Amino acid sequence: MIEVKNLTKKYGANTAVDDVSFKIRNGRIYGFLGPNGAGKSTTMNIIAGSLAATSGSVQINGYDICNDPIEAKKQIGYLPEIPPLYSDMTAFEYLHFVAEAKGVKPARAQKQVNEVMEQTGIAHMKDRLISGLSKGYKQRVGIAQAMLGNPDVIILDEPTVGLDPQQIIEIRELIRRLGQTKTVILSSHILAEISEVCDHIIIISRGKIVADDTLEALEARAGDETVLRMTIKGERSGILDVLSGYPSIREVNVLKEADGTLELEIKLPRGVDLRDDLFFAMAERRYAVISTQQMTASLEEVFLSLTDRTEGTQDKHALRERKRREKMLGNVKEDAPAPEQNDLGGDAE
Amino acid sequence: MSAIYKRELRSYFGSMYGYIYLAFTLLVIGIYITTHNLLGGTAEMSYTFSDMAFMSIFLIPVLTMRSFAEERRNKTDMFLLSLPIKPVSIVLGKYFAMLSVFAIPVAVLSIFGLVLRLFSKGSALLGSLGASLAAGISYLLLGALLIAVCMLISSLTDSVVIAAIGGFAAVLLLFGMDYLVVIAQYLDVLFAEKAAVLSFVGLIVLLGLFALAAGLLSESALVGMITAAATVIPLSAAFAIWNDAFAGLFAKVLTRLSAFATFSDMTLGAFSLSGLVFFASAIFFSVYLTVLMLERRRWKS
Repeated sequence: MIEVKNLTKKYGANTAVDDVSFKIRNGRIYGFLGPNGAGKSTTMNIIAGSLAATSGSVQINGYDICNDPIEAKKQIGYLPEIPPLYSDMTAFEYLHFVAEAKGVKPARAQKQVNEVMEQTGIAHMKDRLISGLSKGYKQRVGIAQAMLGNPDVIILDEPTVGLDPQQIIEIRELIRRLGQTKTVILSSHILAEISEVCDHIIIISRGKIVADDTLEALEARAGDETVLRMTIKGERSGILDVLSGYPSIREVNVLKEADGTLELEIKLPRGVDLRDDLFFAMAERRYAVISTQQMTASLEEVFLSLTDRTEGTQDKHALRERKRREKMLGNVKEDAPAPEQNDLGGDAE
Repeated sequence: MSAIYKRELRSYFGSMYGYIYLAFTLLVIGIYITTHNLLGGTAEMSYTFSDMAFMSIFLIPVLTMRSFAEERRNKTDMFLLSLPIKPVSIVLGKYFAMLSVFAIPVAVLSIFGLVLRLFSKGSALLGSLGASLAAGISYLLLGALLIAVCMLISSLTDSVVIAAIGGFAAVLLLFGMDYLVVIAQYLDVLFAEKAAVLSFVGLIVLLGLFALAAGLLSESALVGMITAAATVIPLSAAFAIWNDAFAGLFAKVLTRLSAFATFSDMTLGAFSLSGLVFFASAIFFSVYLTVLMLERRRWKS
């Protein structure tokens, strides 16, 4: 179990991680989700002991990373964002070095290296120089390295960044298998990835934790809301006046206002359907409803709203950020291919 | 530590790097053996080792340039810090690996010396075994010190080229201290009545450089200023009290601090405990600073 308490990391005046606390329980896959620059890597580096915190504590299976670093580090296997590989070694030599550095007894090191190579599917590449491996294989060598020494917890920082869709699926599959026997912490800025493999999601934004819940709970949170998008032609104050007559409406956001046309986002509790009522109410006041679209909020929207909320009401900035992130999430959808082709081979350059 | 040591050795001899270093060093050794020992007609190795010491100005920075700079460039230093190894073990593992590579040509040179001794037994060419041994040990000590200094410089940058040039500059500076001593002694004679003042100014400059280095290494102007104040003020007080004692002091201090002067003394007949202590403490200091620099990576970066 990992217990992070009031963790803060400052770089000069810049606070990368701001008073973060959470617990990682054994035997689950945790997703560490947040936009780029939210403090994911910094937090993971601190847990792994390669970065010192400004304040706060990290305990791994009861060992403090500050006071008992050697024992604490033995409990974790860590894959940083850039796989820490030595390009002048072969995969086998490298893994052997890491096993030895982690204090695995020489008699067992050989066996353990072979085991992790088998599990990560790199056994047939073991005598190749790391410099000659494809990115996917390098990433696997990185994961294999993290598994050595049989740690309870495996921390993977953005393990699928820069991989092609096929490789992403393979790595995800590997992470799922790892999660059957170990606690895995996986960081990503890609929601689809996290929601696909993780049981528990921690969302971090601007150095703060904005959600820490199971996937189901977050989905439930997303699911209790219905969003109605309406485009109405008419006077702003009049339209908002009509809407204020419906107490079941939770929130109204004006998305766009142009040429006397309003684009609205209306949030309702799940199961409430106001489409007919609103149409006739608007018609009565001679406001033309041009389009109506009803959507149930997805996990993505929860993510966006959670990461937006901490960004304050700096509208322009928030909007730009939001747009950027929506674009990013859009890209992700395109990136994630059908998980059918699960061939592990044919990956090397 | 042994894992790091083995990996380092492997990285030297897993690529051309180690072999090129060895080949070049052995070539230089061959030239010196030929000119000093074969053509010079002696089995004594002191001069051979002395000239090797000069060559180490170029060889050591090349040997050490990659040690930490490359780890920093590949971000593997952060990974090493996440392994259950103490930073001091990482530094020592690397240090001993470099020492081992450095020791290979020294061993070859020593074998040459032994063979020469065998063939010149009973003749006037034999020379002194003690002098040869002293020179060999002193050369190892000098190399160990230069490696430690260049390793420290490599840990300050993430560019291998800057590490090499910086290491070269540092070693050259150490080498140049000998000439500085000569200049200081000359000035002392030239301005005999002002020798104490000259010496005082020289020492102030030396301490100023030391404070500057402390400030740069800690990246804190405060540390630099405190170091400067803590060293300059007592020195000024001492100068006010024992004015006369300062004449010639600067040259003496420089000689004491000069690695190459200590090396020359030790090779040319004055093998001393104080020399051993000098090398040991300077090596310890450099290695310790390297450990601090590595640990600082956990705070910055």
